[in-house]
Amino acid sequence: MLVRNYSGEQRRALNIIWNAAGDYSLVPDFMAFARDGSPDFYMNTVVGLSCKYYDSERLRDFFGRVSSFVRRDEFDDLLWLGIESAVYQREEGERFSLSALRREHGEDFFREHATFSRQQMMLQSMLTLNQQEARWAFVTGRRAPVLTPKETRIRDRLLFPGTDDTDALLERMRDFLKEFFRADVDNALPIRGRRMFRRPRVPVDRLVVRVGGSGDPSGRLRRNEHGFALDTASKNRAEDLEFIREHFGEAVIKGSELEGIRQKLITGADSGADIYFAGETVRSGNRELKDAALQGERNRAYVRDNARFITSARHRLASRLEAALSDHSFSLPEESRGGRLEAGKAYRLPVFKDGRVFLREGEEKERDISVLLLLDASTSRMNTQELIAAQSVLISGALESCSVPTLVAAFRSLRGITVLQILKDFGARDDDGILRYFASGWNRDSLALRASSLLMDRYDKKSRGMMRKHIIMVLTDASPNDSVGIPSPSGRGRDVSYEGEPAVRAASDAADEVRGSGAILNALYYGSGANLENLHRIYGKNHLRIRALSQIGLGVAELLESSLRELEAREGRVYTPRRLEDPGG
Amino acid sequence: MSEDNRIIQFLENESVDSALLDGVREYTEKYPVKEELKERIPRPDCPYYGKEVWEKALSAILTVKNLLLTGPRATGKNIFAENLAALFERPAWNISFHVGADAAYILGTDTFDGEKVTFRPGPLTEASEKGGFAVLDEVNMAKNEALSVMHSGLDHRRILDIPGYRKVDIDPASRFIGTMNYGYAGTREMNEALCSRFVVLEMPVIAEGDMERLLKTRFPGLKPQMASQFSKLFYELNNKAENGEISDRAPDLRGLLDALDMMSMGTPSGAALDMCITNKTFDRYERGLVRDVIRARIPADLKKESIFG
Ligand SMILES: Nc1ncnc2c1ncn2[C@@H]1O[C@H](COP(=O)(O)OP(=O)(O)OP(=O)(O)O)[C@@H](O)[C@H]1O
Ligand SMILES: [Mg+2]
Repeated sequence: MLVRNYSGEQRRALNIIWNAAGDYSLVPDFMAFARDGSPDFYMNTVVGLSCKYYDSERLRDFFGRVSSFVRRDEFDDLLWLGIESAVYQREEGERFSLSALRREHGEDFFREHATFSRQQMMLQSMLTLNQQEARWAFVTGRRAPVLTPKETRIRDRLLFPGTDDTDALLERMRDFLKEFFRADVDNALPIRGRRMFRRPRVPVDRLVVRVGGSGDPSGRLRRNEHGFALDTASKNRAEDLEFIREHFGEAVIKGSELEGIRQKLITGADSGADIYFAGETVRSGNRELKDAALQGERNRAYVRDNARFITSARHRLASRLEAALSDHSFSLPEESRGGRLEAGKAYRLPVFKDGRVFLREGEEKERDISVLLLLDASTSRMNTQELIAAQSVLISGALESCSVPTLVAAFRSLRGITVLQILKDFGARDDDGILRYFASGWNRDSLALRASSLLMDRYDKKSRGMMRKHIIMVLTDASPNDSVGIPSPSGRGRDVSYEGEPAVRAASDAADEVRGSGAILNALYYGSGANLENLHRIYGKNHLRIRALSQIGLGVAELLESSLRELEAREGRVYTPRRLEDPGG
Repeated sequence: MSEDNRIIQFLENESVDSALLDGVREYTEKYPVKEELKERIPRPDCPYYGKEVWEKALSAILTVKNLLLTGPRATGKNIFAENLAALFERPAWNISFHVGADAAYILGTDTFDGEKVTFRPGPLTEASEKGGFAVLDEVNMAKNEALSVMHSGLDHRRILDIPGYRKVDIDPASRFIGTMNYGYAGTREMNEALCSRFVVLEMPVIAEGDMERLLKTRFPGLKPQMASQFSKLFYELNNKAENGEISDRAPDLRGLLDALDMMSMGTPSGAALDMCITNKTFDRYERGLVRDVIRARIPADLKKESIFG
């Protein structure tokens, strides 16, 4: 079973669900976690009960369709309030402690609510929050919140009765979405794959797996439902590299340069792995790549559907950044007859009567920072691909419009080879590459992180030979895992699987290395509460947890501002802009 | 058959195959128990619930087979063996093998009573000579030397050869009932030669309806609603162990009965269940899982008054 790959808290959540459902073969679509990452006891019980009383396959199909709506998170939350009402009524007489658990859950809601920061409040859907408040106020005997007439109708409609069978329940949910949101589930495209309750993390890996050999120390096999569902029993690295080349095209870093990089990176915990730097285009024509192309279309559609929002959010982010960046720019100097004396050329003044020994601020601005958006493109991001693409478009667009050179790269590991795929180069204004983002494979965060700062050095050098300060933003779900293990330090003994604690440790060591090189490392986290601990371990407090596109602007602005402050605090010590070669000769 | 054989009445109510019950009656008529041995007939404090097990066991005993009861912990192996002896009105001897019983102990030894050396028979010899039931508890743990002396007694020869004493013909009314746990560390596979001398009866986990009846018998004051909650709790824990999420330490009926005992004495539900169920698991994470199952059914602060009416 796949379940062996769940983390401890997830497994606990699953156990609560299984117990309530009385069925241990379930692979639930939803799991619930509290803000601190611990399983939400009552809601997981509700999830389990929903499988006890209704046909879980049909529920799955229904929620699969719901997930094609932009407001899917809101819909999920609301519909689950409805289901909660129904299963509670059905199970109440069966389960002695259920009413107490429900009340406890209500109390927890208000306790959490009271500690919500202003920012967290803003990030929540008010509609959902009000509905939840109404429900839990009712359950705990509190005074009901003030609702608009429409909200009142929603509240009443969400009191699903306990008498529905599956057909009636689905009908009820369908009508609900249609009536209040004009969302037509029947015409929605079901999204393949599973989703999790608000905090998505795919329990099913649809990955290319190296089977047998040293590549898969745990010897496990996974389902290949999607992505590169290719035969995976490869015999050697050369073959694997050929496989990568076939799908991602020629490497953009090759030969001795690649060798140099490999010597630095393929060490320690990553010494069994390998690295490949790919360009933005993925070869077409391959059957396995059809899915990737399809995802590209979905990304486009999603960005198009949300264009108004993305554009305005980008503008807002850009204007905040512009202000914060004022200390981090210098105009490209122009030779001029007034201004700062350029010492190296001052001799010309008396000798040649050449007045152009002064530098003066030019029109074109140059930043002393550059940014890398590093996207986890592994299968666990399956359910958030559009969101990740849209986020990247928004953030890189804002940064570029502030003249901050921004590189966007995706990383995934296939057959033990971490492929860093450049989706957008410095200065590029189009988003085509980013929109081709798709999820498939594993993610060896340690190797990707370590590679990222080298990658930035290289791109800085390439563009105008300027070394800049680097801000690296990783879009991550903080759950590194890979099919190639970590060699035992002695060189003897079995490899340790690259997952769980050892993988997190490797990633956090890599993060230290990146920070040690002077870069600022940030994480944009979109994932279940279960991985919050990993997130803290790898990124410290430099992270932002996102639940919806709407939060991006504000959150990223704050994150970047604090990165800049951190850079300023170190100013002069580690980094000042410097020329690598003097272009003047 | 004695008038007050409560077990046979119980089995009639359970509508156990009447041919088998007739066989039991015939047997008790044929082998009346001596007055001085009546003391040794067990008086179990609750009937064993499980009609199928009863029927299988009765046909084995009536056809002169030795019975090996196997199954997980607390599936009622011992209580069933007692029930069988009570039903057949047999004196019973219990021999625990896990404590390292040796041949001398089970068969008997010479002792000096101050005047002369006499042979004092061990429990196996007594049961064999006096037409009793010998309960070989955890027989799979028996030492080899103890096993080898039992072989001839357990097969068609029905003879115990006691070195330096004599051969004991096993009384036609005598039966051997072995018990054996499986499914937890410390159990040994049973020796093949021994195994072939038994018919093996797998003891199932008590069925849901039987479980509620058991609770009612053992705790007459238990509220029916609570009986059903505790019973369901037991099966939920069992289900979790069967699916390998927790070890089989927690879903132990004995633990649940113990917990109810404590609750009936006033211990709050949470503490009683912790001590008798949760804490039997040594792994912290597992304990969390066990506690979650309990939490989903039984509030931790239930007092005696809400459990017993
Ligand atoms: N089917 C059943 N009918 C009646 N009581 C049962 C049944 N199953 C279990 N019990 C009860 O469970 C408790 C444990 O029973 P018992 O000691 O006979 O189990 P066991 O199988 O011998 O256990 P172990 O394997 O630990 O020796 C007793 O209180 C007994 O009454
Ligand atoms: Mg026993």
